[in-house]
Amino acid sequence: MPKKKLDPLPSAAFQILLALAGEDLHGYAIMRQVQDQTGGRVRLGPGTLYSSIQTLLEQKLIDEVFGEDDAAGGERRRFYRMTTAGRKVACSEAERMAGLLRVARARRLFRGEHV
Amino acid sequence: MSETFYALLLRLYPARFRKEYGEEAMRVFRERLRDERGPMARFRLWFDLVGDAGLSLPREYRRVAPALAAVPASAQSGIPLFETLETELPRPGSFFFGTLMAFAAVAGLVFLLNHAGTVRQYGVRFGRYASSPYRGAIAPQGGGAGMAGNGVSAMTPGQPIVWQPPPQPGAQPLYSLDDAERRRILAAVAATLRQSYRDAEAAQRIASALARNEDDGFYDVVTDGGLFGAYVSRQMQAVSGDRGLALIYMEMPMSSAPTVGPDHWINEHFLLRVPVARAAPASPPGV
Repeated sequence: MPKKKLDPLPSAAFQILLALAGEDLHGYAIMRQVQDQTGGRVRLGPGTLYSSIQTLLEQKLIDEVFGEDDAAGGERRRFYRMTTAGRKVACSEAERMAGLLRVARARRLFRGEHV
Repeated sequence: MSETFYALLLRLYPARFRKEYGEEAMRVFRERLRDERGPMARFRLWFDLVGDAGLSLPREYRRVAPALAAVPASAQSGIPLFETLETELPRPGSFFFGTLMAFAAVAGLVFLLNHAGTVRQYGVRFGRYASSPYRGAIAPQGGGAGMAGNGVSAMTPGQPIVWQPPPQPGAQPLYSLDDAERRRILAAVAATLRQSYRDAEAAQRIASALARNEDDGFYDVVTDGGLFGAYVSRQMQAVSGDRGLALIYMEMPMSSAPTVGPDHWINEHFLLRVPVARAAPASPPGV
């Protein structure tokens, strides 16, 4: 299977890594987590979600584990777990974004106190 | 209804994606359907799904294309590599169209075979009146007694068969029958039958019938060797009831060829096939 490069990291892939930073999640939980962490602005559809998951798996940034979904009555399903490499990539991306944010602040791009 | 529609939407994705994530995607859809109720939520759900398909479909197909191109590259050090591009069974529609294509191909082949007419290539002619598959295409091998006498050229046993080059387009025919040549051939056929055919009475009847036809001018307009061979073959078979009898014409002259088994050379263009008598079945021991 061909490797899809993740440099720069696509927004959907970064959101998924962020969602998995706290715990292992299955597909629907990742979707919900992404929706929560973006205030409802990003809603990943199943196509984008699993396409991104496939790419992250190929790049070994996440792992697939099987577990039971307590919310669905112990139903067995696929969960995804961020790997060390995935954490490193997510950190790097977050730092890159933080750097951009610093530049934006220095240029006084933001007005108000929310930044 | 919603699930059916989404299942149809999922079928647009490449087979590999459907196999790997189709079930999961369906489950996510069901969970969203369960959680997002109300007209506005449903509208937004479908809006998301259709938009998502529009964005992710091209990406998935782009992902498939390099996979197909990469297959030959993985063959190493000349070792043959066999890989299947898809692991799932073809869809029923594929079987249907495959069957349709196969029928069309066979029908086309049958049509071409029936309407091929006469084709000349390498001195071999296949026509409607071709009297035998031997005709010009296959030369008998091995040794045997040559046909001699009756004023026709005899073949020397054991010598190799020599083919002459095919005629150039527009050139005169290699062989054209005239009255004298027809008579010589018919005389040689009659003599060979009397000598070699298992049923002497039938051989005589055939010889008489051929001579009568010749006298009646039945063959007068026949100058083509193939047609002449076909006529004579049909006549011999009609008189004797033996479908094995045949006068086979070869457009390319055989400068030297042996007589093999049932085949007797009449001249360098004609071969008379006289079926040999079947050996009587061996009696079981003690009978």
